[in-house]
Amino acid sequence: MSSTVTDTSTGATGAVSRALGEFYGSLRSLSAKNRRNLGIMAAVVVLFSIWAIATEGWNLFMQRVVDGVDNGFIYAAMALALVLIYKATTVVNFAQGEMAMFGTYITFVFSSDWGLPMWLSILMAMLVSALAAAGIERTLIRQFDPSNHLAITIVTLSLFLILGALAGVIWAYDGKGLPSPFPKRNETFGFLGADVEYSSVFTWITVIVTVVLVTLLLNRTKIGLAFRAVSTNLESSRLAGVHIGRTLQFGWALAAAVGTLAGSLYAPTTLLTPTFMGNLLVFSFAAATLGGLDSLGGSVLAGLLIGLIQTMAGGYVDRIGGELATATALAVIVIVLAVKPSGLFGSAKVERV
Amino acid sequence: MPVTLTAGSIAHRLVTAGPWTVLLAAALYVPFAPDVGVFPASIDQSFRVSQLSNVLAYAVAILGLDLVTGYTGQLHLGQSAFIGLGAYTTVILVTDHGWTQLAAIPVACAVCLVAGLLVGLAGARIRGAYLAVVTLAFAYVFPPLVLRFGWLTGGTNGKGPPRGEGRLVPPSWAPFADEGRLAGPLWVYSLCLAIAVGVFVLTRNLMHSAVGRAMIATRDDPIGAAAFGIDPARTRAVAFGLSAVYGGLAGAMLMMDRPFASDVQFGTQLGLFLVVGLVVGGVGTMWGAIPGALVFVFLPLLVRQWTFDRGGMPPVLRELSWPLFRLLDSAGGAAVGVVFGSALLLLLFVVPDGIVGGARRHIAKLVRVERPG
Repeated sequence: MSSTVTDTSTGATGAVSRALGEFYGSLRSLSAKNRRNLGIMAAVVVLFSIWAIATEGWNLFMQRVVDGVDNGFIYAAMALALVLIYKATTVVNFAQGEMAMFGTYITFVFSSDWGLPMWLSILMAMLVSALAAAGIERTLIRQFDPSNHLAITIVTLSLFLILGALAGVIWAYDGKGLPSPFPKRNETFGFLGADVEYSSVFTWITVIVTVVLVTLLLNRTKIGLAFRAVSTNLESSRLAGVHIGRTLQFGWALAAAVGTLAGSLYAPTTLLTPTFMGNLLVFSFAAATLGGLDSLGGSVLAGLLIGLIQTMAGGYVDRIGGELATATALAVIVIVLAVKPSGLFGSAKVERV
Repeated sequence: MPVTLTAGSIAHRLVTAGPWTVLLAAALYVPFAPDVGVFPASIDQSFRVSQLSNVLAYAVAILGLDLVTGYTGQLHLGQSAFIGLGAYTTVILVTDHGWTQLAAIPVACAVCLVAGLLVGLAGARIRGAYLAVVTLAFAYVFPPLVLRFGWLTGGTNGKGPPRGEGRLVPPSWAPFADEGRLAGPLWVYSLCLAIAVGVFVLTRNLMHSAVGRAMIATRDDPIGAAAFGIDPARTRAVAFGLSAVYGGLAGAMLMMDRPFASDVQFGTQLGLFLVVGLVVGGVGTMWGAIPGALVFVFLPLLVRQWTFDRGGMPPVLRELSWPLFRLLDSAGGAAVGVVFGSALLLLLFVVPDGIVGGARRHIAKLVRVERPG
């Protein structure tokens, strides 16, 4: 990190521009290391786009781009939550999807049972799920040595089972409709030949703002500094007096809040059921892995990439069709990982021999 | 006050051999006895026997998983896909080509070996959590692939010979050949038991061979292993290949019990549950695969049965657990997952090193083994 910018601007605009600058800076410093790979990827994308436009026309291509981006932002938000927990514990949290599902049901309770406005319901549900995740970390995760990865993984698997079944017991398996928190529901506007829903654009903006806020939180606050220290070197931060447990708890809470947000943004486009995050989770895993499990910005870019690959492969390649669109996205990940074992933007582990 | 035994003495040998003699005796007694008393009345003998055959199949699958996760130290979530591959290979040969399941076993194993080696080689450079996600992706892709090649696999209808065909028939010399409806399941169980015992003996020998020691060295210290001329990437690929063979064998064993395969049987859920079974039994302990498979098959089954009928439940447990089950009754079938998940958490807290690991720890407190010299 070489961002020693002295920013004197104050107020809200200053904070936002600083945040954007920071996010852009982190992306730029990442891409500097990966310029060649980005170049290859860009070339593939450009060639594919030319071929796609030539075969089926511009409008369909743009529509598929918009659909892909639409999926991609939701993957990105979930991947962000996964990366937060991976950075904190170097464990993949299998319960992330079910935690987000549960949080979305809490949003549902606030908005439909209590009659609160949607945006307030989401914020309150984020708070509730953050507190719940902090509790889970304290009671179930902290009992195990942080280096005992398998035990913690199994705890997250048990949580996956318990939360999924518990939601079924409490809210039953019939689909619930969750309203969109954004105005102009179901209205579209034309954009370069594609129909874009207003609520989609609001969703994209919300995800981007969330990423910026999380980046700010990690880079500008004391707890964020502690979090980064712990995720870089657990032993050294313990020696430096960082409270490991509380810092990891912060990571879980943050991840749960982000997950609830992602679920609440995704639910209005489908129906809320205890299993509605199932498919999403595999793609968020894929996005998080493709981006590099410890890179926040990388997971967002990878989320978009996977959303695009999925719609493009399913839409343009007849042999692949709907069923294998998902498989193609996952195959791409395996190929990328075979070339770059720690993802596109992940920090490669140097081992001394 | 621990008892001290000399390694190699008769007493020591009795203590080491004891548990396995008991286990084998139980494996020979439980299926053949008309009533064991543990099971609810709704689980009749024929169903019990076929469930026990499945336990043996899943024990083999979990043992294969242990080669990768326990002995080579790599989390593997895709064993379900290899079981599926073995099952489909078997069931296709049985249905379309009129083979018997036993003849299909070598083919299923060979197909899975190739697939496992390919996955191992593709993942040669990938490590840790990244490789775990790749194996998860592999598990996730298997059901859509089955649907994509519907002309071969039967698609969403599943694949299996017509009702009543493709079953294994016991030979006339078998003591239970004239048991009627029970004869088939008992014969399948006997075959599964023979296969499982063979696999466990071979695995025990494997772990004492150069290949097995290379796996353990790769887990404990990949760099140190490399310094001794072991190629960690190749060892990992071999572990994946071998574990896939176990998966394929398990798939074939499942098809001996019930020759029908469908895409929903072999999804990510199974892959995750097998890891759970492995950890419950004990990671890196060969014998942990048996209690792991027992928990995997019987815990959800019993919880589901007991929700409706607590007739066969041990009386003490019945008295203690009735408030819990009254709660479950009102919640319906969904509550099974809550109980299963909570039971796993509880096990993890009580015996973090698994059932076998925990048992060994407690036995070590009672019996001390002295090695002379």
